[in-house]
Amino acid sequence: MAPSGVAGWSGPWRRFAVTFMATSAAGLVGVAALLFLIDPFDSGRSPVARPPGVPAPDVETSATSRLENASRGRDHAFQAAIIGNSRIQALEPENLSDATGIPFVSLVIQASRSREQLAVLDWFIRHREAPPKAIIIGLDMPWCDDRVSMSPTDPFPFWLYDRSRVAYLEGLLRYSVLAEYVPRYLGYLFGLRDRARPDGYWDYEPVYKKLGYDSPERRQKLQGPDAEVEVNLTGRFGAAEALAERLANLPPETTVFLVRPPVYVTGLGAAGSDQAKTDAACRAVHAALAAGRANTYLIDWRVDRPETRSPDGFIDHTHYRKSVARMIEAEIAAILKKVQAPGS
Amino acid sequence: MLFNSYAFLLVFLPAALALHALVERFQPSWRLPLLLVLSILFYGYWDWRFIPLIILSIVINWAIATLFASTRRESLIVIAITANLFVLALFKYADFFAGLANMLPGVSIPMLSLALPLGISFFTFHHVMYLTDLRAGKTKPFDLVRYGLYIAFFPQVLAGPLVRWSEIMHQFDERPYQRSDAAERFARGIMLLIVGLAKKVLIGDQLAVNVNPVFAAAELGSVTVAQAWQGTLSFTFQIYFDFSGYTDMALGIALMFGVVLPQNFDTPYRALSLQDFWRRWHMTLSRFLRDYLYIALGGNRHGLALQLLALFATMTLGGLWHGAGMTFVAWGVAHGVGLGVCVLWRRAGLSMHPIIGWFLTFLFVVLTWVLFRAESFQGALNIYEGLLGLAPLGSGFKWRAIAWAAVFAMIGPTAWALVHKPQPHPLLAVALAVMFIVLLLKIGDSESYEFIYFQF
Repeated sequence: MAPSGVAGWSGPWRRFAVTFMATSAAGLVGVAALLFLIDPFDSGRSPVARPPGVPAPDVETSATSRLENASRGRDHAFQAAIIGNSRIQALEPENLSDATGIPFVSLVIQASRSREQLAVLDWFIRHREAPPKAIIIGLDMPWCDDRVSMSPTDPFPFWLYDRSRVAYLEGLLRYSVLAEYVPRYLGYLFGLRDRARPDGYWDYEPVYKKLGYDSPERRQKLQGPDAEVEVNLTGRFGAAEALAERLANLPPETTVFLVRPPVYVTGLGAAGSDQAKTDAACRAVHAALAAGRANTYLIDWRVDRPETRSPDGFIDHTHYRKSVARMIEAEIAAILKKVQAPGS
Repeated sequence: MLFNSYAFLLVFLPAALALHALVERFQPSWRLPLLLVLSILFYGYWDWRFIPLIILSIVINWAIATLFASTRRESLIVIAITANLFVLALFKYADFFAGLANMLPGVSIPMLSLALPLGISFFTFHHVMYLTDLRAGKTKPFDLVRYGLYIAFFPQVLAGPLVRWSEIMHQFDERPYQRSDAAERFARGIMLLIVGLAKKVLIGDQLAVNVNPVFAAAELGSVTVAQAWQGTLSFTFQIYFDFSGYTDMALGIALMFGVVLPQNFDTPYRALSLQDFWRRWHMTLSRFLRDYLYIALGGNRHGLALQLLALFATMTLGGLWHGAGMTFVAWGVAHGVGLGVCVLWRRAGLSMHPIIGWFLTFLFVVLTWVLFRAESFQGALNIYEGLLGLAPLGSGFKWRAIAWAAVFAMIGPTAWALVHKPQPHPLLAVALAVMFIVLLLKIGDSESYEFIYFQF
């Protein structure tokens, strides 16, 4: 602020400059405070209490879960979570809940890699009042990376899951938040919009159906190799190391499932190929992760077995149908029930 | 630190203004050292490792200038200018020249892949201007703080305007807030900052969406006629609103600190000839090229042949200055040839109707922007094929943003003229503040997410 009483700093132009600066400062603080109090993504940072939930999107896309999961991840109605990307998305929280009596939430972020998933995992753990009963993590190929990595194409709002309020506020100060998300959220609060599905499950099969994945040509493609191959022959597994740190800090009563999701058999790579070498080394690392913590189970479906040889169970090499998902759910539920049984 | 970032607009600028106002009021002798420290911090925010580079660059050039003043040994200046250009070449062009040399059979020069220090193209020219004028006896040595500020003054250090020592040195000695028009200058500076930011965020950045996919597609294969025209026309206005908006912000910010920087754009797309265009586009660079390169190469005083050659060489080097790539060189060559044709036309005593002159100039500038924007000659060729109708017609030409931008660029006043019109009405101040907040929120959207791979 310029000092008054100096030549040149007087008159209408001084008032003009001061009016601008004061209005800008007040307006910016006002907008920031308003957004913070409204908390349009229901991240729980606002002092104004409200029941958990966010409005349902107009169209469910892979971008919507990124913003919704902040609300779901802190919803105390759930005591267990599914973390991962579309390769674990087929697991239905409702089925797991029915089978185990533990309310599950799906915190899947489509097209995400380890960095996004770690952010969601941290968020979920940070917002528990009691130790979570179970956590399922889908360990697909990005978890075999030599370092923690994120999707190069699908952006993720890290600010929404950040510990820092400054980072959160900086992320919140956006035109689209004010013009698009605030009206939606207020509409939801006033009952004009439905709530987004609380448990986060999103069935991708109809979407793939629309894209023509049931066609004979698509099914034929399954017999060829997977186009998306990830190779890591460095001997370093930074993504798994970062996960090991998280696992070490989990309460001992939390049961952890490290699920290596199924791939159609032709996607496993030929014996001796770089892909197969990566897979073998990474499997050992993931097994060590499970062995390194009590109450942790490796569910390895990334293998050649009858179910991964049946084209009927797969949409493409790494996305499977409900029939396969049911079997994985059953395997997890069986272990959980055993763990939870008195005297186990 | 970029002008269109929260770090600058919400933290650095207010803090710098507050400190500067306090010092100007209570300890005026600290004003220039404070501005220099702020400028170094501003420069180093992007990458602190470049701080030693700019400090060394300032100190060494200043020391040589001081030494020259006492010894008058002209070789000192020649060595200094050569060294400055060598440092620029090392950082900006080493790999470019190595790549050219490696095309020769049997040559294999390793690539250095040096990070490019921001603004090095600009502050190198600042040194060259000062040292050349010092040698010619037009200027005197300045103390280290003033010289440092001439080089690193933060509103201009990253992307101009290119300021001559004679335009700014005398201003450093003023008490800017003691002037009778201090508050008016400050307020007009605010307006200029907002208008520049609006040009960049509301027009330039919106056009980018029509540009980037087209040029990306052209690198991979052919584009349709509609795409080619959409991408090229959009880029024509994007680069103008982006760059002139940035310059407006620089001028506005400098005004708030009590310094008037030179104009850099004057409605260039209204130019009636190519020569006229270069008098209106990036004016400070054009002046630099004219006074320190074209005239040094002989200018127009040694016959037509040499004039054409000097023009050609100047524009080619001017093209190369914009970026280390053959497409930039080709862009410079095209403008060198175009200006040469203009000279011959005038020499022949031919005239041209202003409307035809404007149309041909605009068309030439638009077509040459393709070379400037394309990442390779193949990409440029694919765009040209689309522009000339040698590709499928296509559809979905996004004309609205282009039309708005064209209206503003052709009809609208320059930002400088615009902000010098209004009276100090408080409602205007409130409207500008609202605009500022909207722009800040828009900036937030454009930086929505981080894409950078994180390495733990």
